[in-house]
Amino acid sequence: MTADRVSGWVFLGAGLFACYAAIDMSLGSLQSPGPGLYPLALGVMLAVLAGILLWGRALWPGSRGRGAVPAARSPREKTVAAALVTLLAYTALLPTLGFGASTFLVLGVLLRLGRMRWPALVVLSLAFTGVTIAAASLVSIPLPAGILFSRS
Amino acid sequence: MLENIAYGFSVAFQPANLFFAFLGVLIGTVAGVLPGIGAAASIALLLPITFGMDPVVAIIMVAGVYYGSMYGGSTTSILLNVPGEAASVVTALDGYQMARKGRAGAALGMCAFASFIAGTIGVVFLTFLAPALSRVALSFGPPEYTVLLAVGLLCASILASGSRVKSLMMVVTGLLLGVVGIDPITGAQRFTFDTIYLLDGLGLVVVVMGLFGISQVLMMIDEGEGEGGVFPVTSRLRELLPNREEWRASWAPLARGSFLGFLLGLLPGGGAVMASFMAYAVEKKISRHPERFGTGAIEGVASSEGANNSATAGAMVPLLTLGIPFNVITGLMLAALMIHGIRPGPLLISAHPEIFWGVIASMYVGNLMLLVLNLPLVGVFVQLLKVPHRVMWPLIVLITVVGSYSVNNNAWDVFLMMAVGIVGSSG
Repeated sequence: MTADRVSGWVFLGAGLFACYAAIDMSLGSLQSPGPGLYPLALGVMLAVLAGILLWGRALWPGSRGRGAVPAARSPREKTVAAALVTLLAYTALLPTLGFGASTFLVLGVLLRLGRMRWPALVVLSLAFTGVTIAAASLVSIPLPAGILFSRS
Repeated sequence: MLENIAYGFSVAFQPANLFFAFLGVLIGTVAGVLPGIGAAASIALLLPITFGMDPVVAIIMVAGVYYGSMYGGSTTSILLNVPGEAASVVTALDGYQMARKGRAGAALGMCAFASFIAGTIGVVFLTFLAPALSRVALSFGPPEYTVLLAVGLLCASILASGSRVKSLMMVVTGLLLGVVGIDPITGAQRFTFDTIYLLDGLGLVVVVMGLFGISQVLMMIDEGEGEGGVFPVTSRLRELLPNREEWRASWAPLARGSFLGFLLGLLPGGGAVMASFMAYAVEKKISRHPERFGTGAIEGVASSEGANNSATAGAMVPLLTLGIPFNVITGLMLAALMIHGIRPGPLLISAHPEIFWGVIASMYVGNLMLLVLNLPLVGVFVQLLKVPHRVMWPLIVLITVVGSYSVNNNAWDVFLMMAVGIVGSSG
């Protein structure tokens, strides 16, 4: 499947969902619009545009435009996937472990993904985390302490 | 008019304003030099810091980051063929070729001078055009604003590179994301899924940090270490000043680029990126030797640098006089003002003259600071490029996480930023 087709299906789904959710709200009229009218109009527009992206070339075969570009496989896609998982895990760990522990762990994993050696990795993770906590406390940003480490 | 300008300088020359103007242009220059950390991401990161500042100081600093980034972006374009800013892509075409021919110093010097001259020309236009435009804007009502916004959004999609359908899809997606939260007219909840986190809508700062910061990290990981840092730079910095022949070839393209850049900066969807491309295209079209462009023609560097710097002043006109941001960065500047309860628009000049004239005067001063800063410090900034990507990406993650969390002191914003960044990088 080409990258354009993937995008087309995703945005078609998003557009149709917006329409479905908007209809549940009051639509009102053009003179007195309800909260659902504007999102409905946007949902329809998004769905139509996604439809053009999906089937435009079939409907207008003479139209100009680049040919379908296959979804490229990156040689580093495993590293990118690992980074994605790490970043998402970070958002889950942050409220639980708190900023210090979760950031140290996540920075360590990210630096490891960059093939940094273990001693340098530990030192850099500690340094980055420590400097950030110090800087945040200087400007009074209360970074999350984490459920495990909170006093209450 | 002269009285107003004098008042503006009296504001700009206050020690705190001078300091934060300098800080802004310094941060902007560094942001421009570092690929991936652009002006938008830097301003987004700085927004929480501006909460406790005086509004004049805040906007002077943020404006400094904006035009400072245009200066810095050209450095990596020339030395490494890696544009530090999107608006510096065109500078790389001839600047890098000049560097390969041993004229990196002349190209960098031309960039600094062109940025200063064009930036100043742009601010002169801003000084004299903005009040007139604001008088016109006073007659604008809701229908006119609606049409203006619609035209701006359509122009943004039409002028964007790549597929027009996809650009329009992104415009509509942005509008849909803006709907999330409480409807300001009826008070009804829209797309909140019964969670309190979404009642306030999706924060602009959080979304921007995800789109620019996190997606850039993922793209950097995808690209690996690349070829950055392999180009010898240290021995090329001896001659910083362009010679007489190069000046002769550059002054007219620089003037044309400055004028065109300001005009395109005024337009919805315009801005520095489009201005630099257009100015380069015009110079190539009217040149007697168009074949020189792309092989190290200094006039190509002068025109694109002139255009992208002048465009930043142009983009300030609709922001300050209409209260409408025509690009992401001026959108963030609008946010910086609104945080302090100040809504830019036709009444800004009369209601907050210290902001209007103070910012304009600070841009004159800031441009001079940038020239002084950039000429001798080019070599220092180049050293920053030696930071490997694998160290850079954890740093960017750290900065964006702290930045997004600090907006509301809420881990939900961190999740939202990550999600937006991941979606943005897959586009």
